[in-house]
Amino acid sequence: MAVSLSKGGNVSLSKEAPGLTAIIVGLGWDARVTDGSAFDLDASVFLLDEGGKVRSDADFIFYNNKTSADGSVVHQGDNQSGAGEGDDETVVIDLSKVSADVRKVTFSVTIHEAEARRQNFGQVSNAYIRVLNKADSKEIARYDLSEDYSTETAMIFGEIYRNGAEWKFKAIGQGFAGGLGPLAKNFGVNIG
Amino acid sequence: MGVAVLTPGANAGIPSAPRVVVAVGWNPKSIAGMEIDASAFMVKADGKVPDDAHFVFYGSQSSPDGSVRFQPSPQTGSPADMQAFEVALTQVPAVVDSIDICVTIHEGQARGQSFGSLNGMFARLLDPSSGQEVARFDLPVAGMRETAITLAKVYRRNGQWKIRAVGQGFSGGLAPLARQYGVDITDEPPAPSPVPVQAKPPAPPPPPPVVKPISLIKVTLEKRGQSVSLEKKPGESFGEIIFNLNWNQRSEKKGGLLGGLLGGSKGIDLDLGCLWELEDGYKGVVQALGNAWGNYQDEPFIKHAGDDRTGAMAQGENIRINGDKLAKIKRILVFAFIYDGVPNWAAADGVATVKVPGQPDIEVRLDNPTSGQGMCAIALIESDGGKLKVTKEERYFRGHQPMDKAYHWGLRWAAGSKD
Repeated sequence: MAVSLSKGGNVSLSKEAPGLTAIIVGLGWDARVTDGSAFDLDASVFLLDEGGKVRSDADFIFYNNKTSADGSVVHQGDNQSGAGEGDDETVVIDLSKVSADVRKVTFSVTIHEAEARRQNFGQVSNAYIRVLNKADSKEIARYDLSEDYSTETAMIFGEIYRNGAEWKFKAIGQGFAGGLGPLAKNFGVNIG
Repeated sequence: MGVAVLTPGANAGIPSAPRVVVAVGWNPKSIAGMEIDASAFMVKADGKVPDDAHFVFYGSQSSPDGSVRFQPSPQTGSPADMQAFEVALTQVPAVVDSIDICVTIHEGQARGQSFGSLNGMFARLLDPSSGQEVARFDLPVAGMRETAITLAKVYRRNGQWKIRAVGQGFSGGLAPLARQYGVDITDEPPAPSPVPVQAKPPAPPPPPPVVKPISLIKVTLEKRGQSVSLEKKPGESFGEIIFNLNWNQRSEKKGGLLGGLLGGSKGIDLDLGCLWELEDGYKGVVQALGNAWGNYQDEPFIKHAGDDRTGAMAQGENIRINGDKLAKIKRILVFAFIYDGVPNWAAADGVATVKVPGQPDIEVRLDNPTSGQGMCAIALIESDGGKLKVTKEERYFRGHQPMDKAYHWGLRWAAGSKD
């Protein structure tokens, strides 16, 4: 039974799914049915050190940089394989390969061209993000993005972090002004 | 407790109350020939009504259970409230997850009216026992082309009622809106669609219009209304976009009177031009007629290539669009005009091609001509955010003015001469 998290809530992935070695992070939302620009949500991943910053720009995994240097994080882009049913974007993380100096992995979602299209999370229906066990595709935790963070256009939705030998997942739900660029800068990425 | 002032997408909790009133109003209250109706769709968790009786409006003023009632003349004490719904929250059937408050402009599309024609529109939620306003949403109407929208929704969330400002809908009016909610409006005649790009295919809902990635070498828009969207990621631009029109320019020496009458004795001369509208509302025309050549670097960022027959320009006539300035451009209607002679589109065999650097060419063939009409609206190019959308029109008109009218461009036309 998947844990449905609310803001600030956390769950031990290692306890929920004993023997967990790899996870899939899935992101989904309903396509727009009304007239106007389509909603395009992008998932980004930041590998962060003890100080909460990236070690280098290569730790910023997104649509233009889909694999981390150590190969532990692979952004699948638009899901076309049918794996992880219903997800529009997925990221696969091999926890066993994540470098020891990476203390947490943060997942963010931004709305592409949100300002120009005058869009925010409150207008997107049924946006969610979920964590699955890669081994059996079972959902471990889920977090609903659309409800409580209405007018945000960029959100840090959650993070997985080391707690001793185990990995935990926390629902952060923190909005961020300005979109993906400022968000990446905040984590220490050099944005040209 | 203060009033929650909502922007599109925002939501607020509704303090526990047995009943609330959602009032809607607009400004100006009356525009000649414009009729606005409010309606409420009581929908299940899947966004559909349980049945048509859960569509509450002037023609059916109460839901079967009486929990939602239409008030054609709200008794809220505020003259700005034009219509309202009283919702007995505690009596709403459990199957109903949300009460979506909608507004529609009657035959708006046919009459060229949309919410953008208004100065303002609002929804406000109040507690009828105290008259206190709980939440308010002022819809940003500027630039809206929709004629039927969900203005706000009153919905359940974790056992509590909330209100969300929505402000999304359809240019095509009540029919597509109702269809979204699972109500089939059959008695309303389909509104004529002067702007085919906004026409929606029937249910099921269309896939997102974004075509990505485009792997085809060439995209051909076959049918009127068919469109393709090109997208760039932030930081990139489209560069120089060329709209080329090529046609059969051979001088067909058909003998006799008939050949002459059909315009076959001299080559067909098509003049390429476009109507343009910038984001800031500035509009005009680029065409050879009247030497309105446009400007590439400056507004309107569109230039007729004129007699440029250098290597960069393909044969026929070309219009250059400055893709770096796309954010400033709202829409461009590219047309071809047979300036003199009998309009024989079939013999012209015109092919329009949109060339965008790094993207497949988009081809629009003028293969469905209407005889006797000298003007052809070829394609509509719309810039939306970072996207470039090209829609095949191929609609024929007598001249500039009727075309302008059909697309609601709003330019003033006077007779001009090429000489």
